Amino acid sequence: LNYVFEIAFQLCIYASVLISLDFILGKAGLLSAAQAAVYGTGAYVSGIVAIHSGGGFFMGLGLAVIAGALFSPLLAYVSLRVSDEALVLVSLAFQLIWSELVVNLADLTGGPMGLRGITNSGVFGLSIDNPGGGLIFASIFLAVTLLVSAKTEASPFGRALRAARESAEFLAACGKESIKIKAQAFSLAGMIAAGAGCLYARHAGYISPGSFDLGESIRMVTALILGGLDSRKGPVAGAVVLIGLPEALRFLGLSGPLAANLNQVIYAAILIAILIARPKGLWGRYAIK
Amino acid sequence: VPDRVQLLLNGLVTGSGLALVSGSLHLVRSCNGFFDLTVAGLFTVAAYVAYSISTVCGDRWLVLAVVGGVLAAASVGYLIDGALFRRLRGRRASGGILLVAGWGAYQLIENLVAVIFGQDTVSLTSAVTPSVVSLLGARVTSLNLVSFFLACSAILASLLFMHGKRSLRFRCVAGDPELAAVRGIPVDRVQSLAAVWAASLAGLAGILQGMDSQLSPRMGFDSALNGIAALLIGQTYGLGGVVGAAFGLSIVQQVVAWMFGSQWQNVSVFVLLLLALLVRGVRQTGGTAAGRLA
Repeated sequence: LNYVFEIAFQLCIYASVLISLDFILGKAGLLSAAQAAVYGTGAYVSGIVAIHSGGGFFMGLGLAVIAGALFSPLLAYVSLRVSDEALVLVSLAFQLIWSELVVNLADLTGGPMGLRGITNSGVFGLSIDNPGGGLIFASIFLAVTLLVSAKTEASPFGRALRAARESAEFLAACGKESIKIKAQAFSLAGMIAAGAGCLYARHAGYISPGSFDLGESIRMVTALILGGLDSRKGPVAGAVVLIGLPEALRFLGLSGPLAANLNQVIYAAILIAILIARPKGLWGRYAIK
Repeated sequence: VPDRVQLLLNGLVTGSGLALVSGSLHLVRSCNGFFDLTVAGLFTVAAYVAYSISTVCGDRWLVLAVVGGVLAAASVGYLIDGALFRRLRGRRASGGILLVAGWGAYQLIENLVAVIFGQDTVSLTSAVTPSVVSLLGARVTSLNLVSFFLACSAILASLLFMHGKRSLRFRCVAGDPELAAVRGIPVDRVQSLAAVWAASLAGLAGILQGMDSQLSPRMGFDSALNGIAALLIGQTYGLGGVVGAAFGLSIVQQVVAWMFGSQWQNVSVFVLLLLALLVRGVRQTGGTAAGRLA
């Protein structure tokens, strides 16, 4: 049962992160390859707070969300100065700088070995670091994220975001600045992803740079494109593929580096097939242009 | 002074390899209008094919391995362009879609190489003991010199390749493929030619790097990232600018490694890239491939 809870926990966390990415990629139409860095920022801020100052869960979550809200607009400020196509490369540069900093600032982050011993005092008598407790926290977080996504979709901000995606000129004619709206989308996405990172760090008790590297960012983008952009089902479907595929390979008796490589081969083949045959993914309402 | 000469020489040697990668990216960007990440995979394919040839042929490896590796990269590049990118271009896919597709193709290649050859590093030049040459108090190996001259020859050939009427054709295809077709330019052939030439450059870069260090399935990715940085920094001034940026970045990396440690080499490249983008903004990175070619 613990195994099922653990898988369900990861599913909820990834679904939340993919929903956050959908604000940028799906709703705003901006291809960012730095979402794992934002997710990792939340995890590291929360972990550092727990280890160095003994901060509790809510303190860690609050600071992680603030860090995510601040990090993303920084990315947005640079990214929105370049063309959409170059944006992915700028965000990629951000992701790589982030990873290098986490590895090199070892005194603070633990370096390549990561942060160990992220402890929790528990919340309302419930501990996040066991599979059952973690799943409850992650489910609540996913529910809140889905609610935010649904509310945003129906709000003037959500409509403006889609309008910015389709035509910045049209939005300007309506008296709104597309850059400002896109920066707000980055900020909202950063808060959600960093919050998910905090939950992950508090649950696992250990984090390392490998969990938030460029490959992870790309896997997130791939999973979201597979699931479908600008829809509620898409990110969840993408998370199911992202978490389910390695587990399926494990059940087939494949594990270790070979399974990881086969996993990537299958992802890549599916991605190419989707791009050629079904650009909107499984449940998407929008295809990246 | 010898330290500075050594840094400069190291920068020139690594810069020549990076110039091949950034030149390859520039060719595809200029003619086909997108950042082609399959370059990273073709880099790896060529190195591993060269390794396979050198393992089988023993002493006669050098020429055969280089030619075989470059031909393999060119063939795979041609196949990917025909099977994937041409199909997407036919649907008028944007640079973003092509970039994601290129990432998918790169992942496919990298992981297939890992499945076939394993994750462990292998050496292309284990049977060769290069002699050390002294230049102005600095030291380089004979393999470094061979790499440098091969890379510079390929860059010169690319500059000639992109010169004159062909450059105009590339520009026409990049600017408006439909209009180019109306004017009688064989668009698919021109785009395939650019893809094959770019794949050959990437393949040569992979082999040259393999001669200097160990091969691993992921070896192409870091080079491609640095190549993209050089491309974004230097593309305003055509292929010459991109090549110059590649040499400049490599020298900066050597200086940063000397002053602060090698762990900050990659950070320095991407910080420079971000600074360049911040200073120049949209103008230099936006739009299609309207930049000068050579």
